[in-house]
Amino acid sequence: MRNPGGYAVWTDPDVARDKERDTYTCKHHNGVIIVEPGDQSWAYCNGCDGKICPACYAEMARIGKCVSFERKIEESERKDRLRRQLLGDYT
Amino acid sequence: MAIYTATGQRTASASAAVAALENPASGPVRGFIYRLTFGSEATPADNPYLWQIQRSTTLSTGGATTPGPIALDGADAAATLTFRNGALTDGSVTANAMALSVPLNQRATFQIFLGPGEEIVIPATANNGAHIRTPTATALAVTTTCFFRQ
Repeated sequence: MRNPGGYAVWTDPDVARDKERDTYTCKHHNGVIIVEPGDQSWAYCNGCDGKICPACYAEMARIGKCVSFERKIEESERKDRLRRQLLGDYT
Repeated sequence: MAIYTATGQRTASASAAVAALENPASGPVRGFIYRLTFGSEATPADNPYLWQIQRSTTLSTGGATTPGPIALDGADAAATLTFRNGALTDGSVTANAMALSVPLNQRATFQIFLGPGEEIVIPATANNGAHIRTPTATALAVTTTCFFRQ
């Protein structure tokens, strides 16, 4: 894989060599995807400028826009800050 | 940003996590898991089981929070994120919110290294975190080591 985002290694005493695979992290659901050799199933999102998994690509095609994980957690954090401000335990 | 490491051990359970990395109820911060190790220290045998990182929205209970995450630079302050392991009871894990899912044989050890911008992110939201689970394991001794920054 060109420009992998990560690297996974399996060490098994029954196997002569370690198994090694590239990984990428989907920019839409922040899940780590382990890429088998020859697998080209990932997609690229121009909205968040990163690789996304086939399931998130299908969802993006369905709703017609990029919803990045960064945007999702910013929303979650904004709601949490507001909730804690209202409850008086904002830190 | 400071970087930390923490190790969780327990007799694997299909219904309770091995460890949980979580934000406190106040003063949450973003956490970035960039390296993980999964394995079993039990007598070698052929047992396939699954490791998962699943997002959570409420705090786990029980187990142990000591010694807690260790700062790799001794000059850094203690971690804000708590790492609970041992005989813990899960918090509310989010269905289908898997950040990583790895089937593994008991004989094997798995390590993953995630580059900058590719980490598993824990949002700076109160009580949110990630549970490291073995949802299909039989009762065997398992260990996970988690490296993260905040």
